[in-house]
Amino acid sequence: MSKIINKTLKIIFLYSTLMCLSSCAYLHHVQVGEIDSTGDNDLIPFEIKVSEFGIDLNDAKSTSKILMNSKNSKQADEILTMLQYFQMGPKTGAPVFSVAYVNHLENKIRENCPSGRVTGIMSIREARQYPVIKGEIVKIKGYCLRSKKEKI
Amino acid sequence: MKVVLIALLSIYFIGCVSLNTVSLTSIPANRSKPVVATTERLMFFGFNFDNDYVDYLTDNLKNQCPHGLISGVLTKDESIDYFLYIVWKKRITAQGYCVSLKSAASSKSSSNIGSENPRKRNPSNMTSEIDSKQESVEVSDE
Repeated sequence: MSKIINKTLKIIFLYSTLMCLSSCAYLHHVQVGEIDSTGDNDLIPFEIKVSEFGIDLNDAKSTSKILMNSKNSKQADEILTMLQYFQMGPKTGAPVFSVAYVNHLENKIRENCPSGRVTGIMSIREARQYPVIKGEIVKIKGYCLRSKKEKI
Repeated sequence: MKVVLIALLSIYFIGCVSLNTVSLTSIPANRSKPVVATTERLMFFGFNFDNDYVDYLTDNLKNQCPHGLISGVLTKDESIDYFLYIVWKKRITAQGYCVSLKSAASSKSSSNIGSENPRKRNPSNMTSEIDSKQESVEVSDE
């Protein structure tokens, strides 16, 4: 009987944690650039968003404690701690598999603004926080300067 | 026991504001018209489901200087704790200087003098410009 109650409590706890933590957004950094409204130009807004999966091993540890029995969770805890030794050092957000996801930003700006004349660039580094999995996001917002004489 | 608790709480309440990040762009010579835009969000238990409140920061700043150039932009990102991080606020402040069309034009012409390769537009480096004719950048996925 006590086992059933324990399991039910575990499920309720996990479910409530999932509900509470679902889609929490965290803002790491914002930077606003210079804004040029001079001249005979239209400011066409654009937005670029790139993201990558991140994994929070501390979350994984606490989840394993809920889902596994004490022996298995201890083993999982040791393995995850071992992995964490390779992820030490300063970082923003959860570790991701590859940081190459931000390499295409310049090309994406070119795609959005073929003239290459951009202003009011605001770069936002944010994260979507789900249990264990994190969405590490870089968002660029800005304006493409387009001469009023140019054809749209 | 009570004394220890009060001492600990008083230490905690001293540092209630923290600065997360700061960034600054080049400062103009003409700093007569400062412009400021602030956006903030109050949070309970840290629950925050989007960061859309930041999106209007640039628009707000731009509207304060409709036909000018905003330069020397200082962006501050700070957290204000009201009670044990149960209630806290995230505040983003962007402040800069509005340089009017005339001043911007004069700085433009003065920057052109003596430069070997005068830029066709905005030579004072006040706007990010990506030269569309430059060679494509190599991008490699690992």
